[in-house]
Amino acid sequence: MDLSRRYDRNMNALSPDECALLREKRVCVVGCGGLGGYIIEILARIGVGHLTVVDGDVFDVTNLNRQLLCSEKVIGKSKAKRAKKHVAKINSDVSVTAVSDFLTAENCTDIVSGHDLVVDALDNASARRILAAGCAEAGITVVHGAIGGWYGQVSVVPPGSAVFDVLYPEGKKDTPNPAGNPSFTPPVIASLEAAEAVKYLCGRESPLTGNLLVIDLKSMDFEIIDIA
Amino acid sequence: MDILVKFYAVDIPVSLKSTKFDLPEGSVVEDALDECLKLPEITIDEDYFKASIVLKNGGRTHLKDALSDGDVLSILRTMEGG
Repeated sequence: MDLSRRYDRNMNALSPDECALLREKRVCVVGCGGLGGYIIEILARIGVGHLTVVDGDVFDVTNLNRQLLCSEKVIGKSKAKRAKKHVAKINSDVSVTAVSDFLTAENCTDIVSGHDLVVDALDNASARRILAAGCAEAGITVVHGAIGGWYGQVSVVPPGSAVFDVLYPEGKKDTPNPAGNPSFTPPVIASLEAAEAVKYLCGRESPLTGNLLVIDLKSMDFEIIDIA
Repeated sequence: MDILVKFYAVDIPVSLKSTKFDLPEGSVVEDALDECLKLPEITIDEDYFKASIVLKNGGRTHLKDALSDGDVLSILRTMEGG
């Protein structure tokens, strides 16, 4: 099969040089669930050269309503390994490292080091604090996203930025989400995170650097807040 | 004194997403949150609501920080899901 035109439809949205640049980039996606599944899919299809996909969890029946990589056949299977298999079906140009571990203070810096960008697809505040500290230590920018019910948020967090400190301050307990996780919110926020990732990798500017985009899918409000 | 409260990611009618409150002099941020919770349209659990991120005039603030006439509070419900 001739796949030489694989990236034809990237063109004009991205320049040939930007497409070539993406092929050289290494991105670490932390979390392979609701957000992560879509982010991995989008970054693989657009042609990011290497993806490290991190998740210590296995698929659960409650993931079926929204997680792209979850199907009835893979309940009980590793999310990270499933992500790697999925990318192999989409784009054999992309190399993938699957890490079937949860992020900890001990392993975080080792996992994120050597990447051009980290994308946050985690699902709790304490893991995000660990990620922020590890990426600050490694000097790596994070594209942050989080969801709750009809709402979501996205930010681009350079090392040393206060964004995570504001959103998830030390000492604040993880709060259970009473708002639910409907199927339509993860792909919206994941797509925005992926767009920010591509912009960052191509050296483009973003209004979300150090700022927070808050999305309300009930009222369709998209507002950028200066929080740092 | 007038305090403008902007709600983000809080289940509330669109018409109330930006609401002005008249608070007595000497009020603190938590007093404003208590006023918000008196709105019948806000059905969120009190503890969960008070765990929201609160910005005063765009900067970080705390529940016991004093308010001044014209302050703008932005209340962002904490989102952790992924």
